[in-house]
Amino acid sequence: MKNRFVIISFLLFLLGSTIYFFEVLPLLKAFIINDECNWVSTFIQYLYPKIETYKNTIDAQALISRANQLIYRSGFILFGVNIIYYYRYPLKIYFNNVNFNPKHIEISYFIYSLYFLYTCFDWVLEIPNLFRLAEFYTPLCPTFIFENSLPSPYLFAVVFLIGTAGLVLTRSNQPKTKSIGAIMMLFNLLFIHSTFCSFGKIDHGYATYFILAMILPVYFWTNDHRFIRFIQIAITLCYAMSGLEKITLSGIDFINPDHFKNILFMHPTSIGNWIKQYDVLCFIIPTTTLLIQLSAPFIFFKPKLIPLWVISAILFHWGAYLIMNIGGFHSPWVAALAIFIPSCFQKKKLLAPILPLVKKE
Amino acid sequence: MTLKAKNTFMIVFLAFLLSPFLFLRNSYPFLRFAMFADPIRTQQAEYYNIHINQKTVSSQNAFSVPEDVFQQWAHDYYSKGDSSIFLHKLEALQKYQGQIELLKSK
Repeated sequence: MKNRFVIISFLLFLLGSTIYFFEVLPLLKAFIINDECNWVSTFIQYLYPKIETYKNTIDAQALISRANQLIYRSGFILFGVNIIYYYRYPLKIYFNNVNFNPKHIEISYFIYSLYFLYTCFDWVLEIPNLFRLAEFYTPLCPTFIFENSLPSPYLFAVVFLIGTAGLVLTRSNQPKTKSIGAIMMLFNLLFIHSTFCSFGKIDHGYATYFILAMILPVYFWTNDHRFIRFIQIAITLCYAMSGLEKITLSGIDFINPDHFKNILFMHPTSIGNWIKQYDVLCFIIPTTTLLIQLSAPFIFFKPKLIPLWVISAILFHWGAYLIMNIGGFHSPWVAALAIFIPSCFQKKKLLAPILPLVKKE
Repeated sequence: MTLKAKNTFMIVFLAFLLSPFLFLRNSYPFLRFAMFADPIRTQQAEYYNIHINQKTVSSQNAFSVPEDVFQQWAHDYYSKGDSSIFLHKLEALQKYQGQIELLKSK
């Protein structure tokens, strides 16, 4: 059965790669190099609206090699799925064997809701600016579902009211009421954030915070601690994918000091200017970044490392703020790490119950 | 919620989470990972300066637009060849009158 799954995955990958290299790639090259219109170009223009910008800023070969990554990345994901499938029984036991202290989960939720209030307050102060910059408004999903022009101040007020009411509902003792409250908070976050992102610059700072916000309603509905573990896994995957993205796009160049100097050039600060003078620092900082990001999903195999990783991740975000003025001490990435509080204070060794089973396998 | 429904949610959510990595694009405004991942040869460090009456000014002072947002806008409009549209839109925002110029430096 296990072998059949591996063979089917391999055949699917082979079929996909053949279609890509023999059918799609020639049409893609014709579009990128000769500006020819074909079904691939129509599809790409639909899926990647920024392709016209990229065609003017990135050279054709780099753009094609970026497109080829679809195949490498599919292979990587299929490989990961196969590993998970192969170890599904021990992983299942490990995943189901979670028992967090409810008080610790409550602390995590308190930090999440406190950050929610702070974010909403911050956004309320920024909304007058949106109307001033209305000329630059290009609606993004999910904002365009509601309107094609900048939403009216009344709509903003209603959305904030929904979010605040949701926050109040999450204090209820009824799981379903709590869940509905969390969904209302999520709606508020999505609507306002996507409106802010509809001005040409996407703020990816809320990636992990939104993961937390999206899974919390399910946790409240079920009161199943596995969902807290699932949020943690999803957040670490988010970090790991950031690291992998750097490796797949830049390769070894990412830890080249010149690359980091380039980044510092685009985000000048006094500390960044000082760091730029030392090649060693321009090598150590991106290498540490990669280490923190790529090691993220593995922390669950060594629970003692969880607090260390969380502290490193917080320092990483604070470092990005001090060196490049990106984010802040109150970054949403830092707030989302609060979900690791239950694990940081869990004494029980997570992998202990499954180790004998892995050996048997 | 049944166990099957819970597991289905987790699988669907993971697929949703992996999609930006697989397709190298932002699925939604809130799912975009990895800053500065592009290699040096394609990153092309560039910086846009705004001049009003031949004097360099900061976007924050001239238009109350944060510097990073301004750089992103300038990059997007400039690379699409729409810098004149961009300047026209900026004119409506400027706090004091003057001839606006957009200069790109590398």
